[in-house]
Amino acid sequence: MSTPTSGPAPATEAGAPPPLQRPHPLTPLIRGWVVLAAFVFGFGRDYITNSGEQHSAPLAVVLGGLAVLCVVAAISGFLTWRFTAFVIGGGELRIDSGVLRKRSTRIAYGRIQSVDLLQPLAARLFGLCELRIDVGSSGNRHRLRYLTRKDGARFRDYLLARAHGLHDAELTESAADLIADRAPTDRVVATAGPDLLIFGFLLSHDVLILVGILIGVVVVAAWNGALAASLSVIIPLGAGLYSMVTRRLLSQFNFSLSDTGHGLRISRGLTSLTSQSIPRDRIQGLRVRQSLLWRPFGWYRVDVDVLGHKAGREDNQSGSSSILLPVARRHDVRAVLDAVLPGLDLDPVMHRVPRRAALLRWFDFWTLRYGWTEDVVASEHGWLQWSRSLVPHAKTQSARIDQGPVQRLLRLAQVHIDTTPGPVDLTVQHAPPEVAQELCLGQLDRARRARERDRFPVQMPVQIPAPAPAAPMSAAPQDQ
Amino acid sequence: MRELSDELFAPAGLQWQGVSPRYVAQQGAVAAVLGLVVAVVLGVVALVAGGAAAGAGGFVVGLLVAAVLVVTLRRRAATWRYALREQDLFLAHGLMFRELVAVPYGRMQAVEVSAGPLARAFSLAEVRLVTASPRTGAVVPGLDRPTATLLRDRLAELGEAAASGL
Repeated sequence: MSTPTSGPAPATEAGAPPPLQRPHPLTPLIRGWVVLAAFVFGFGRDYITNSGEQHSAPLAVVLGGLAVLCVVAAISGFLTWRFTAFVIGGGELRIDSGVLRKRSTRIAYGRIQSVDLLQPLAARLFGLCELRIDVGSSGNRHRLRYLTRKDGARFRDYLLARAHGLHDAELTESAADLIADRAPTDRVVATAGPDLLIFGFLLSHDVLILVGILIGVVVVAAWNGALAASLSVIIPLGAGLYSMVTRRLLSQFNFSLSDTGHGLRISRGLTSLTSQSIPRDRIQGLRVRQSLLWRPFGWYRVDVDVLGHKAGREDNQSGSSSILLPVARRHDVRAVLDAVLPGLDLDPVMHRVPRRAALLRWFDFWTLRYGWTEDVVASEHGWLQWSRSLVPHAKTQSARIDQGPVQRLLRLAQVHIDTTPGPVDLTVQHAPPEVAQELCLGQLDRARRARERDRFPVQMPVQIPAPAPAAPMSAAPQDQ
Repeated sequence: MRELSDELFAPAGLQWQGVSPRYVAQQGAVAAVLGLVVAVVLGVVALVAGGAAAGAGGFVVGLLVAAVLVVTLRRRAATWRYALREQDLFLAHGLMFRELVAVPYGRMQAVEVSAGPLARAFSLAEVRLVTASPRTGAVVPGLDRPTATLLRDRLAELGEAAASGL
């Protein structure tokens, strides 16, 4: 356990119990770094904003506190590492942890929904990675950190294979290329190069508004000579801009979406790499958006509603993002839709709402459209920010019609198709009553038929990387 | 065309069950109390502003508002209804702002019966369906307790029979 390359022992032959494995010994060092950085950042910010006034605490005390914190963090990190172990293999995944209160978590392979491979900056420097395992429909998260990259990829492939019911999967070398995290059997669906990401980011309306406000505040403050005093406004704005840059740009860098046999895999990131797996059947809905600024370039953004991810979360650190394609051209969007919802052609079925809706939505009534096929229901709206939501029938939770008094006068109604919380909300605004009835009541039948189709699906060919070649087979034995 | 709009929220061919008449009475009582408060406030304000006659006039106006409120709330309470179809549950309510909710049995995650203090005072309870979407809002208020319990049990049974994976 003392050499840096030490890590989990290789898999034993069948019949022997799977070995107990430990995270990499450098784990406590990397975890402690985060605490240290947070402390330094917190105090540093306080220091800077209070410059010119009395410091809140003399420097010696701060440094002393820092040292004590380091020691405490190091000890607790070491203890946590020492008492964490996991077992991969056998019937289930078992994670033992806890110093004072021992906890043993057993995860049946069938309940694993997705496994993400993350390489935060600190871990990446040492060639380590973290595995995040999503279990069950409520998105319970379990983490294995930190493991060597090779082991992380190996375990990830094994867990995903077992999760898909392949009982004879083996803990073999991952066929995925470690840098791009893509196996030869994966098919790349779409990528977003740095130029696309940067220009898309610079032309986003919320970024432009924030930058505009920031520049405005700085200029006004400088004009009035109150720059130091307005730092308390500038710093949060700057922090907001920084977080936007991180979320939208840095954490989506080198974005690549590929289709493994089991589902979709997104690998992205500049300093912290994330490899996120999205099983196809967890996708509850898709949303394609295009703001006015992107229209001349033909760029779109695709968000996905995945079971288990909280609504609207665009975290970069936690490794799960609801963004399926941050910036993409039309043919990439087409490719992604084909990967998730094969054979979808929405253009012939989208209908406009009646003109009388103009009395209620004078500003965008001509952009309101709805339509459905045998698999999917869709609605779109907006011209400043055009947005189209798609929900597969099988994922419908409930259908609602509502109608206000003015709508009743105008013979219009609204239909909502409810799904799990997430960026996708499907509402058909201002539909005529016969359409509303057909959409809502028919939706339940369509949902039932779609679920039945899912229950007895055509088996999709599942690609798993071929196991490492065994010793060359000697000549077949002559006796049968 | 009004018929079509009306039919939108009461699709034909369904056995609609209404809620208990005590719910109508409960809503009426709530409205009466609120209305009375409004009338008194109006009367007092008018009294302070204009004198006794204005005060009386304000109070009368307030009483009229209260009467309208009582009638409206009672009528609205009477519109709550539900229907159990073979594969799904329909709920409808509303007078001015109408709503129809359709929930397949297989999507129900939990069925709850609950009663706040006001509902308990009238021996009523409400049945709430929980699905994976927080916006479903499938609620039937104003059922008397035995009916609410029966409905919950029936829905739980149907839900289990139709359980399907998310």
